[in-house]
Amino acid sequence: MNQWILRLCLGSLAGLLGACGSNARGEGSIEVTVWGESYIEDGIPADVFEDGWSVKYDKFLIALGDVSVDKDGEHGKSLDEIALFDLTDAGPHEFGRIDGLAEGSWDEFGFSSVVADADTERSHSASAGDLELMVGDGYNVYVAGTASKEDTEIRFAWGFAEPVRYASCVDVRVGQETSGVVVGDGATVEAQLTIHGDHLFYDDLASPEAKLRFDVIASADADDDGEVSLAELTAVRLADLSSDQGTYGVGAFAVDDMRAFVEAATTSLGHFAGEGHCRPERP
Amino acid sequence: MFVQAAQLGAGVVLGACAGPNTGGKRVTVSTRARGDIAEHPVVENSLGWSIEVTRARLALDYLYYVSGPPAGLVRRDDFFSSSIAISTAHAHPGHYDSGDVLAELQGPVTLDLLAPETTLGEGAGVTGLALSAIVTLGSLGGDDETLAVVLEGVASQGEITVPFRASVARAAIDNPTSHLPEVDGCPLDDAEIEGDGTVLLEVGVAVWLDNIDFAEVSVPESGVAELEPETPPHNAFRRGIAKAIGYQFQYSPAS
Repeated sequence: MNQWILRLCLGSLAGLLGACGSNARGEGSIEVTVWGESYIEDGIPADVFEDGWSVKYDKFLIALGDVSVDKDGEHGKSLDEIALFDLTDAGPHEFGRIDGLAEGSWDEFGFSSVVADADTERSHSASAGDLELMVGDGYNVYVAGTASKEDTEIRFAWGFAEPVRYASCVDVRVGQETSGVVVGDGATVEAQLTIHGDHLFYDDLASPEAKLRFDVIASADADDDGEVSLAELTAVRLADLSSDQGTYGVGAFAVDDMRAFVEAATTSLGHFAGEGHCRPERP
Repeated sequence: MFVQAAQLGAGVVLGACAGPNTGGKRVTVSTRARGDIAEHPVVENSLGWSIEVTRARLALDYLYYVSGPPAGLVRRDDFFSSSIAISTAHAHPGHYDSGDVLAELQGPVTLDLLAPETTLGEGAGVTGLALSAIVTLGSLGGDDETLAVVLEGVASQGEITVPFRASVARAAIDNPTSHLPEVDGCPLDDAEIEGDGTVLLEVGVAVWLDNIDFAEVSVPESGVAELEPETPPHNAFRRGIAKAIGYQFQYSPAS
């Protein structure tokens, strides 16, 4: 957090100095990184869950692209690459640079989670097998891991094809909202696509009061083989859940079962610079 | 409820004075409503039941038209087609944020969802881009004082026929954020409010009924089954009523 503030302040200072030193408009760059934070790299601890489970990811694959910056409603520049990351590998991960941006505010910053295809590149974090899996099955997100509670372990391995655009990202690091990024003359500002691995286990698709829960998912293991498949989640109707199992509110999503619920939750994974907000859109 | 209602109402007035995304111009927004079953009172649900609705009533206390995007994935066109400067709420992804209140309708009103489209009334508003709506449920009054919704009909599948009555208490719709009997984040289309206009609310009774498995309903000898709270059929009904997509709003400017 402190490192973030320092970087932001240095970037802003460079911008201000550049603006003061010359009447000519300078240029700067954006370095795009991707990070899954400790919840994806190390696990989600039991004290974060409402029902005592903890989760450790073995794989957290996500295909990202269409990173773009714009201002005043006009298209600026974009990063053309689409790349696959395994965010269980220690990050932040380098994605790419956007150079030659006029100094000043680029208030519209967005990115997409896209279905991997033959043009998708592989970051250092992802293996050739990972890429083959994502392209072959047409996923934009794939997660595998284990949830634990006391002596019980439940495995999961879920692939999703739920592409989403995260638009109009807002940085909230310094106690106020800043739309997009501010580029300073001769400076490079980091724009981090932050992926929140805990959102898959929220018990509400719309409420800020959502809690992390796994009991309902664990109870979906109909064949009792210690692994919950997406097909088993399909069999869990939200109508069959009691209120003490969680709200499982769906907002404006047309969702009636747990598979659709988790699929919808994947569209809220993307954030900006830590806790920054973006607006999820249908691409 | 009344505390929040007062706060939201104040938001409209404040927006009229100072809100940069509202433009400061006062407008009047009238609201009309209808049920999606008004012309054809038969619903085919996703579990294979054909349901003929014979009575459907919904009580509303307030409707708010707000700047926050719906509580789901928004359509890209909703933003890029707008000519009004956009300053929408930026919620944590997956968390609904209502943003500013741009217009409202104060009840109470009771809708007969089998009746033709009716005018609910007029409310104050300000110019701006409204993207979603909040529905606050009311009380049906009389013998149904505690209820917000009552629905009666006959469900059938093959040889099986289930005459039923379903009701939901106002208190049973507990918004997890506000803890009020409200459904927030409902889709509101084309609400680029630049002057007086009308909002049409279509209540999706089909959404309410879509996941009820009437095979799980016990039919008494008296002939009419009551969907009992805390049973899967009633949970499905209650969840349907709490779905934001069950309330579709469409704005049109006054001609």
